[in-house]
Amino acid sequence: MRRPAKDPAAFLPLKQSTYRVLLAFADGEWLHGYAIMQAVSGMSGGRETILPGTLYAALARMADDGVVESREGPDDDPSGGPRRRYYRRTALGRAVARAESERLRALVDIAVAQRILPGGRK
Amino acid sequence: MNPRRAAARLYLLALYAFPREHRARYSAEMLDAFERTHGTHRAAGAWSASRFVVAACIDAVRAGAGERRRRPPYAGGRGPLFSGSIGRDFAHAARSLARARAFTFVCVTSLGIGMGAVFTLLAVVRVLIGSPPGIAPNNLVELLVIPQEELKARVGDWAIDTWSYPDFLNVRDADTGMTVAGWTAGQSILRLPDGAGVRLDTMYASPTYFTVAGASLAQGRGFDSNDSAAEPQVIVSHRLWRTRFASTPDIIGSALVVNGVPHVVVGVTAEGFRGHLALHRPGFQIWLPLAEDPRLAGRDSHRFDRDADWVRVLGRLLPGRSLVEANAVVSSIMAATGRQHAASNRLKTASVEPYFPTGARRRFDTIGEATTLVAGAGIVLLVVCLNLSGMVLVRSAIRERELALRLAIGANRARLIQYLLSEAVVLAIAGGALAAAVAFGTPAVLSWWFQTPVEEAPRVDGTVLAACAAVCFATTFIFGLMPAIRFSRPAVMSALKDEVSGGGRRVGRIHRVTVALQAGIAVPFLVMGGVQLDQARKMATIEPGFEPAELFALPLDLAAVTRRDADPAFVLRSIQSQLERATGVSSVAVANGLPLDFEARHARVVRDGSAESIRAHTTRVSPGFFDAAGIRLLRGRAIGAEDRAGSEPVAVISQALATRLFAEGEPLGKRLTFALESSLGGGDFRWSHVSMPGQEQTFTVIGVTGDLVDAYMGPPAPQLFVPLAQHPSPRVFVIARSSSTRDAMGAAFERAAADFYADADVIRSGLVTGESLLRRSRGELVFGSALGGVAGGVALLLEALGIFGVVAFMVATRTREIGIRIALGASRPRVLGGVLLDAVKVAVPGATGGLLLAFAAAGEIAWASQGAVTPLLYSAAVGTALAVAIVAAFPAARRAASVEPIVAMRSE
Repeated sequence: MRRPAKDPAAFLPLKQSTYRVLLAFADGEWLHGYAIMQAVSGMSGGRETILPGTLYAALARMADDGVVESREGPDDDPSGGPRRRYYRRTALGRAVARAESERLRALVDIAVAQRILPGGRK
Repeated sequence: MNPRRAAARLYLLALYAFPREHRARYSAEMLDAFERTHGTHRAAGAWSASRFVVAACIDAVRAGAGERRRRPPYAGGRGPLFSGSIGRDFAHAARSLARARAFTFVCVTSLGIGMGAVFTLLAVVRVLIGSPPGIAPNNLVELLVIPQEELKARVGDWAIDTWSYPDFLNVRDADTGMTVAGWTAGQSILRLPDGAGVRLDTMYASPTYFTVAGASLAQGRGFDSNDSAAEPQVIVSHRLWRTRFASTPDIIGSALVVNGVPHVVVGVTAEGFRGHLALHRPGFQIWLPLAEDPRLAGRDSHRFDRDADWVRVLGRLLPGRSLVEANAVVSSIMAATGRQHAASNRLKTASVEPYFPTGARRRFDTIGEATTLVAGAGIVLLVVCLNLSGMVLVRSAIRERELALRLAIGANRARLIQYLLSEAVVLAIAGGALAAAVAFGTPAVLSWWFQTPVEEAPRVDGTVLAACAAVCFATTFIFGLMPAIRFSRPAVMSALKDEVSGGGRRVGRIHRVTVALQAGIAVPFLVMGGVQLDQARKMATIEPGFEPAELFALPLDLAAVTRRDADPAFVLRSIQSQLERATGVSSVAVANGLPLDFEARHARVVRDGSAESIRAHTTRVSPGFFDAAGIRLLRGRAIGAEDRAGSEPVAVISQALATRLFAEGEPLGKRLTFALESSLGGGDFRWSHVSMPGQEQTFTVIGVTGDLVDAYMGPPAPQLFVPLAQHPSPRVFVIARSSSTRDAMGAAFERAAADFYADADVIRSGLVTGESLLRRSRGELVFGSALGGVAGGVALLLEALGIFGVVAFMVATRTREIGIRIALGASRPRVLGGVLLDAVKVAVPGATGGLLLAFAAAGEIAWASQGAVTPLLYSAAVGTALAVAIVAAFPAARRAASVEPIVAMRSE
């Protein structure tokens, strides 16, 4: 098992799936797996989806790294179905998402400077 | 299994790619997320759902492999099921298979044959038991009449799918908890925009038909619910609209001439809709109101006739009503009718059955047929798998040294199994791809080649694809696992110190038995192929029993006569007399069939005072038929003008029937009893699954004709001719013998029929000649022999593969023994002979069994191939099976004979 790293920069670059999962959480929000899948799909208007295999592999990795934390859901889950585990982005997770976003922004800035992207939008 | 559960199971299986720890923690949640997402995809259709299942499984396998790489193998636990090395194994398997080209080619081809059979049959079964497009099968029911006592004995089936019109009305108008629609099938003639006429499959249906079937119309509002609409109405199929009317947007409300009468178009069906019957291709083209059916609109209306069963009835349960309720109501209505109209309805009860695509009456038969098809294909695939397993055994035996080396440098057993299985997987995937390409691609290629769209193409949808994938998966395990387990434990020391393998393993009994079985199965097929070949040879010189040259015939539908005031007898008389005046015409007659017309009009004939019945082909003929058709009259007289309706019933029989009924005795003046199929009851026999035999009658034999072959060109078939005047038929052929050309005769027929039919072009296109009948029969026979030949060829090919595998394995594992023999002075030809003899020993028991099977099934073979089975054919078939065994064993035998003793014995 990987040692939880405390330096957000040590996680970069993030895998696409990890980054998307991190962005799916609002601050402090607990979500179960299916809700994360819906949130990822919702962020892109349904263009990008994440499948359960990728999602849970990412969650397992992120939990090991301390980027997300999990707790058992209540016995009588309001949405029905089996008892679920709920996940939340940790402070480290937020920092990692921020570091990745900045890394990507730097890349986007280069693309704008080279006029690959139309500029003016920051 | 229901698709939802099947998908969940598949996904659970895919989750095995994850490490056990991950599975224990997350698999319930993952399955939950999978099922919920699958649910939303299912709402979007089966295709979307299937794609999602495939994508999710692949995703799980990939992510799981990633997780396994991330986490080190668990100490003390079992090795990972699929370790990260799986990709390497596949790559290695693909490379080594690419090098062993002959082996790969043989394996992929034979897997392709086996899987192709399964795929094709799965697609066929899907067509057979899958609902046709555009209907809503839930809550759709079919109303059947259940015959009782004598009627049941006469019909010989548990249910009748046709109702009399008054009985149908009783059910339709009662409160049954259903919306009920009646329908019948027929043909009608449509005048196209360019003036030409086409004959189209037509459904006459109640206005509620589309509602009941759950089919929506692409355009238009459908039939008026009032039966007697102001002007005649028609609904056209989407296909007809597209192909014949160039998808004109303003078709609704325009007028089409159907059967010579202008109809207003009130609807276009949804795309792909072709009626509610599964097997009906390409489907109905136009729909007319039931009231327009000739049996209601014609002169002899069946509107009030409870004896004439011709309407078929569909129903849709109203919301909240159940099948049981509807059944009870309909049964009680029918029982009440039975008390009221005892003469016609005493022996009929009714039943409401759930809809089935080939008809509710045929449900069990169809399911049985489908099961047989799938089981047959499964057996072929199993045989192929066992063969391949034999081939893979050989390959593994040859590579034993390599495997031992892998074991010696630290591979564990699971790792070796994975390595060996990956080759099987690659082979299965290649075979599956080949099979899929052939099974599903052939229609496309055919349609490209012939430049016509193939309507019969099997439907490839999610279910069929999933089934095919499952077949590939199962195949891999069946043929890959056994050799993989067997060779995952090579004897390291002996394998390594030795240049050649010498394990002295024995060929498994199961392989020998399979190979023997294949040799056995090949024999009856070969006999059958031989009979057909013989038949094809005889066919060139066969005497058909009539004069095909100068024979012309025109099919006429007397119900479709556009002059409503003309009665059928008058129509026929005037067409006949017009034709007789045409140049070159020597005789004209009318009959309800032609020689070699492929129509099954059979009756069981019983001689007076005998219990034995003989099945004979019946034709209703007018005076002059024998002259016109060129059938020789041997004795007695032909059917003449004196055999009118009401006079003594008479019959002319063929020599073959005379011999079977009376042996050497004189048939003239003797009496026969039989029942012709009823022309009123069953209506159009192609559409009524039960042909209703009419009442039995006694006939006097007045003449004997020469023999006639039947449409399948077999030995002369018993034939029976009765006067058309005594037994009228709504569909007839006008037959003329003439020395004129086809065009001239076409024109003559057109002139003769023009008075009664609006669409003269249809007449010209329907013209049949004697030569075309003969050509068609020969074509069928050639096609039949080709099919028999293909089946025999496939059986032989499988046998060859099996023998090749078994013998090669024997040789590969007995190299040292052979080397010692050669060292001791055995000559190489003798070694070669010994190995070939081994092959023959494997094949002989099978071939003997096959011979016995062929003897036992001689009757069926003779019947199926319409020829005689001769001793020569039996010996040829067995000889071929053994010869193939020898040829297949030859490469291995040559290898055995070229063994160098010094190499074989070096380790000693």
